[in-house]
Amino acid sequence: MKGCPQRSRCHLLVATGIMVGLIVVVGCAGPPQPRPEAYDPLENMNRSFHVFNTKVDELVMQPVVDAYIDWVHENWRLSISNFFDNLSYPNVIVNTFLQGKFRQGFVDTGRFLINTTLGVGGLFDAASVFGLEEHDEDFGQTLAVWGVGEGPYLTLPFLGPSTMRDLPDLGGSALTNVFTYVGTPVLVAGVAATSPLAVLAFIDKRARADRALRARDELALDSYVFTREAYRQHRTFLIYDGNPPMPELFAEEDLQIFEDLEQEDAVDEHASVRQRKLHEDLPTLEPISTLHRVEETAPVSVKEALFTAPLP
Amino acid sequence: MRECDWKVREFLSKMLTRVFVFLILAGLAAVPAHGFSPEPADVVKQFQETLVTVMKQAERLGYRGRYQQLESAVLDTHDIPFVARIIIGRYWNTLSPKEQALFVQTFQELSVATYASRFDGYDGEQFRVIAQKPLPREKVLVETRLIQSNGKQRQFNYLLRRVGETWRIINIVVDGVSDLALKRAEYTSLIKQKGFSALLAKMRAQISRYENGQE
Repeated sequence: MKGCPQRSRCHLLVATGIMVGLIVVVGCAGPPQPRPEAYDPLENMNRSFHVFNTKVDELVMQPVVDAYIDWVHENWRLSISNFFDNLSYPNVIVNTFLQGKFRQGFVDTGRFLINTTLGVGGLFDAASVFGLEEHDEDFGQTLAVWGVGEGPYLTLPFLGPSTMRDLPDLGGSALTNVFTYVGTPVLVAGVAATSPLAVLAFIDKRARADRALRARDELALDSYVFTREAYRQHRTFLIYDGNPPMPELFAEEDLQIFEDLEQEDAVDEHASVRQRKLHEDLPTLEPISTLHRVEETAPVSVKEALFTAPLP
Repeated sequence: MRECDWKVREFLSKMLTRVFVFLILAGLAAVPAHGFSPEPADVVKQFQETLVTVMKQAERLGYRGRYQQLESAVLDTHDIPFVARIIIGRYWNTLSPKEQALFVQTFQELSVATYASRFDGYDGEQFRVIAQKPLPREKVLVETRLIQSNGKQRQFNYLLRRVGETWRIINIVVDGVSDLALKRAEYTSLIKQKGFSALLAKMRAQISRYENGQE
C-alpha cells in the first residue's frame, strides 16, 4: 500500500473500476429472450395469495381509494403522484447508470435536480416542461439487462405480482428512496406503515393502478392468469424501454403452425379427425410451461402419424 | 373549304368526347380497384374511426346500439375465427367441428360485447397512425397512438394478416401487453383446469354481465 497513501480513496478507485468493468462486461449480455409461457411452479401458492390480495383490496383498499379519488381533486392527486415519483427517482438514476445508459442517466439526474428545486420538492413536474422526460427503471430491469432470467413468477402478499428477478428491487428501491433518509420509516409491507406519508404513498400507488385494475376485473375470465401475463408482458415492455422484440413473436410461430395445419386440412379432409385422435393421446396434465413446446412439435408428429401410424 | 373545316371540327369534337368518356370510365374503374385492396393502415384507421364515432354517441346509442354498430365494424376488420383458433392453441383439435363452431361464435359475441361495454363514453381521445411495418409471412404491424385529453399517449399496435385481397386485425398490443398472448394464457389455462364447457359457460356469463351492467 506504499503507492497508495490514502487507503479509502484507493478502495474507492478499485470499487469504481470493478463497477465500470462489470457494466462493460454485462452490458454486452443484454436481456435474455422473454419466455413466451410463464414459469409458474408455485402457482397453487400464488393463487392463494392472489385470492387473499383481492379480498384485502376489495375490503380495505378499494373503499379508501374510491374516497380518495372522490374527495381529492385531480390536480392535487397529480401533484401527490409527482411528489412520490420524485422521492423514488434516485432509484431510476442509479439503475439507468447500472444499465450503462449514461446519457439518459445524466438527463435523469438533471430531471431530479430540477423537480426537487423548481418543482418545489417534486410537487410539480417542471423537468418535463424542459423536455426532460420521465423514465422507468428499477433493479429488476437492470438484472434483466445484465442477462438474468426472470425466474419463477411470484404473487406476494399485499404487494401483488412479482418474479424472482424483481424481488431484490424491493430492498434496492427502499435504499434509494429519499423517504428512507428523511427519518420516515418506509415499511415495505405497506399495511403496517405507521407514517401518514407512507400510507399516502400506498394510496397514491393503488389509485394510479385503479383504472387498470377495474379493466382487469371487467375483462378477465381468469383474474390470476390475466394479472400474471399482463405483469410479465409489461415488465418486458419496460426492460426494452418501450420497444420489446415483437411481443407476438411466439404467436408468429403459432400462426405458421396453424397455417400449416390449415393447408394439411385442405390436402386431407380426414386430417383434422386424425389430429384430434393424436391429441387425445397426449397427456392432459402437462405444466403450462411445456404447452408451447408441445404445440411447436405437434404438426411434425401429425405429419409422421399420417404416414406411419395405422389408423383404426 | 368551309364544309371541310366543319367536318374536321365535328371529327375532333367526337374524338374529344370519346377520349373524355374513356378517361372518366378509366378513372371510375381505377377508384374501386384501389378501394377493394386497402392498405393495412387503412383497415386499422377505419376501425378506429368507427370506435371514436361510437364513443362520441355512446350514451345515445346505449349498449345495444353500440353492440350493433361495432359488430359489423369488428367483423369487417378483424379475423375472429383465426384469433379464436389461436387462443385455445392445441385444444382446438380436441374439439368436435360443432364445438369449434360454437366456440368461434361465442368468442365473436364476447369480443364485440367487450368493445361495446368498454367504449361507453368519450373523453377527447384521438387515435393517430404512426407507421406500418411489413413482417415475415404476410403479416403487417400498424403502430398507432391513443392520445388522451391530458396529452398522455398510449401505444396501440395492431398485427394484421392478409386474408385474400384485404387485411384483417389478429392482435392488439397496448403498451406492450399483447391481447392475443393474454387471452391465450387465460383460455388454455381455463380449458386445462376446468374443461371446455366451463370455459364456454364463463364466456357466456361474461357476455350477459356486459349486457346487464350497461343498460
